[in-house]
Amino acid sequence: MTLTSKLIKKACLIFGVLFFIAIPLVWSSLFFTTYQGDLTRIGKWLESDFGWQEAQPTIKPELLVSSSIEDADVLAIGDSFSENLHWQIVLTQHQLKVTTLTWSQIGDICEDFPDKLRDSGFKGNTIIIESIERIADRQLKSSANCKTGISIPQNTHRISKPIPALINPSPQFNIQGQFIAGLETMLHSAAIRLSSSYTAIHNYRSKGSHIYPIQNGCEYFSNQLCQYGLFFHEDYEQPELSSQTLANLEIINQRLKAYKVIWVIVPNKSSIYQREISGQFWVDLNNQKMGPNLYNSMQKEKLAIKDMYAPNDTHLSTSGYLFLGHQIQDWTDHF
Amino acid sequence: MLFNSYEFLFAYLPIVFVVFFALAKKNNSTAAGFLGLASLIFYGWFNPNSVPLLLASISINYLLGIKISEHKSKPVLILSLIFNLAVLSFFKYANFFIGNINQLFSSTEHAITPLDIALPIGISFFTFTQIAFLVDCYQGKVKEKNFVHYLLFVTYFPHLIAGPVLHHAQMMPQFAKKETYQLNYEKISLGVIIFTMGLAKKILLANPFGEYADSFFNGITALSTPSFANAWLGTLAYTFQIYFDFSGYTDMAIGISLLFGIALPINFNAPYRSTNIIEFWRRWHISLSTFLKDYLYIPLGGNQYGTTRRHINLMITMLLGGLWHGANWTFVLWGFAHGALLSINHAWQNTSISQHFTKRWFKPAFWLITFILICFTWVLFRVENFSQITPVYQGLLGMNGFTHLKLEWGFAPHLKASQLYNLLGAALMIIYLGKPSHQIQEYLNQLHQRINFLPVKLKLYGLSIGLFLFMMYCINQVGSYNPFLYFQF
Repeated sequence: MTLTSKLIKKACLIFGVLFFIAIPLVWSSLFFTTYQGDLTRIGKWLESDFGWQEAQPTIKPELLVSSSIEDADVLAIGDSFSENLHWQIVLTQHQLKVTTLTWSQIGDICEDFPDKLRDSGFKGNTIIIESIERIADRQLKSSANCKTGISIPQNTHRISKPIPALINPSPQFNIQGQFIAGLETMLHSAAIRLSSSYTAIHNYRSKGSHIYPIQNGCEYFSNQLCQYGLFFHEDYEQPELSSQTLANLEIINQRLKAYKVIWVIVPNKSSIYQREISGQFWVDLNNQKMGPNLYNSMQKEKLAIKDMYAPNDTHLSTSGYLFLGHQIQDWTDHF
Repeated sequence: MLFNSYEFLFAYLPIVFVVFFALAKKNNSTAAGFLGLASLIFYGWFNPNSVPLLLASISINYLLGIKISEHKSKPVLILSLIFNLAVLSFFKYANFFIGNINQLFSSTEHAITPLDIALPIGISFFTFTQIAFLVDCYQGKVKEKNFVHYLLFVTYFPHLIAGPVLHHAQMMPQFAKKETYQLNYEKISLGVIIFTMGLAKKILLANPFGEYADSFFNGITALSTPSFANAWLGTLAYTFQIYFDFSGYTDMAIGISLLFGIALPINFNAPYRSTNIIEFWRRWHISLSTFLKDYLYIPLGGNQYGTTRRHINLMITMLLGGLWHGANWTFVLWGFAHGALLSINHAWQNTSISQHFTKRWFKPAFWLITFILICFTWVLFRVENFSQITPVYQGLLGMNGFTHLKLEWGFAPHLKASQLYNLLGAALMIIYLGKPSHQIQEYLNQLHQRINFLPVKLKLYGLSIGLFLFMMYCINQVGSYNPFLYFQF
């Protein structure tokens, strides 16, 4: 055997050893790549650490229906907070037929939107427009400046699935997962248990979710690592909503003056639990009778409703959606 | 079980590798038998119901081959060829035939109901492989007749699903050699390099190109009017997808096979560098074109009976070659296009004018013309029905206008133009500078000489660790979009 042959053999053995070490690592990592929430998925956190541990209310699947636009009393326009049709069931239980369109379906509420809405066959008189805080400013500015929009979809009848009351926190094998994600997830879980200062390292590196210690976090959340909260990184990149956003709402309201319009601006999860903001925008929204002060009501209610926002997600839990639905219903009844 | 799946890489392959060489230490035949059994398990993983068909095909063909060898019986050979083609036709073309009959008579009352049959994966490959064996038995070319080696030659898992189309004379002597059953670190290291190269082609190039190609072609209807830019980007995406997908798969197969000390034949030799269509077919899917040449074109008479007959033989070969790819008239049309281009190319080469164009500086122009023609023919290969052909060709020829991509993007919104440009740039670089898998060893030796100032140890160990990390990176990129185009053939 020549020297080169010996070295090739050694190089093969190095590769072989690395490969055989990788085998158990890869297989075990695939048990940690099933994510239920968007924040656990983006930030690579264990579902068993951030999945809620207290059962949420159950919703009958037959209630999660978007009516056809011709039959609807109420038109809901919204983002992912409306897409799952959860908050709408409170109105449905009050004998109202709600049809839901998402922003991606309509683009913007442009100047010609009322004509398009009339042409679509909508005969109701109430429009509820929902937007999450972090994109509300961008979304509403775009609508306020828009002249011609896209057509409203013809078929708006659809159903949705209820959020599970409890999610399975045990590791689930996922053959389609990326094993590096599984390794990262295991590493994050171990690191946060070793040192709370790991949050700073994670937030510096992460392009998706941030993690922060939450004072009295276990009073708000039921997950295993309830002393920590997961938040979306974009929440921290936007300034607080201002009077300019309110001015854009006013422009859109003028276009829709033939309808009763309710503005539902859902605060970011971080604004309720972690980030300090004044909430003046919601005060003005409420004072001008444009929509409920959700910032104030959610701040008050976060202690009473555990897991109002899902610990593993940017979105609300079932109880959070029901609370939102009741806030909208109360506003509809009073104004 | 795909070559780039976790179950293959981190369970099946290491187990088969370790057990094979452990058994080989004691008995070579047992090791060969085990590899055959492992190959059947690999095949059954896709669809266990197809295993009996494969085993029956192997057993019958083996017995027929022995009989043909012993008696040099032409009727038995013809019968055996009919048997193989009938099985292939039944599974692959029966419903195509029924569909055409129904369409021809367009009567819903008397329409024949399509058969409820699933296409056994790899049937075209194992049928062709065995036809070659039978013909060679008749011609007295088969020396090695061990059943275990024959079983292994047909089922050998690196090639079973998507080729290369193997020839028994290349394979069975290798299974008979003692050296095959001993660890050969040079072959293993080369195998790992070629496998990783194929994996990278598949994951980093073919899959992303495929998303663009699917997005474009799936959106084409008879009424579509794709712009010049969209039509070309969609067609180029498919042109590169099919190359990197199939050659990537072949590289993986060649690499895996080398781990077991078995060399598979070359299947691609930088086909997109061809400067004419004849050269393209000498470089693209070489094992299939060799098979078609040896067992169809030459028995038809090849070029022995004058120019007209040669063109007819070429056309028949390419039409059947097209049909081999799938039961659809679009494949036949693709074969026809290549048959016609080959005939034109041969006719051109026979003219005296062509002799004036042999200078080196004509090459880029010929390369461009060849590449454009190949792109045009891939459209026929990719479309699902005839109605999609005209809109795409109109787009490619600029007949639907030259709208700017920003105004009319012919792909899904999440697919970005910049990523496609990057992919195209990388693909062209690889086409121009890349080395085909069979030249890798020579290239590495040259590189080794060029950087001889570095210690050999450092180079080899560095390569080993670098290769491991790169392979793991590629494996991690395997997402939900992971089709292998040649699995359907």
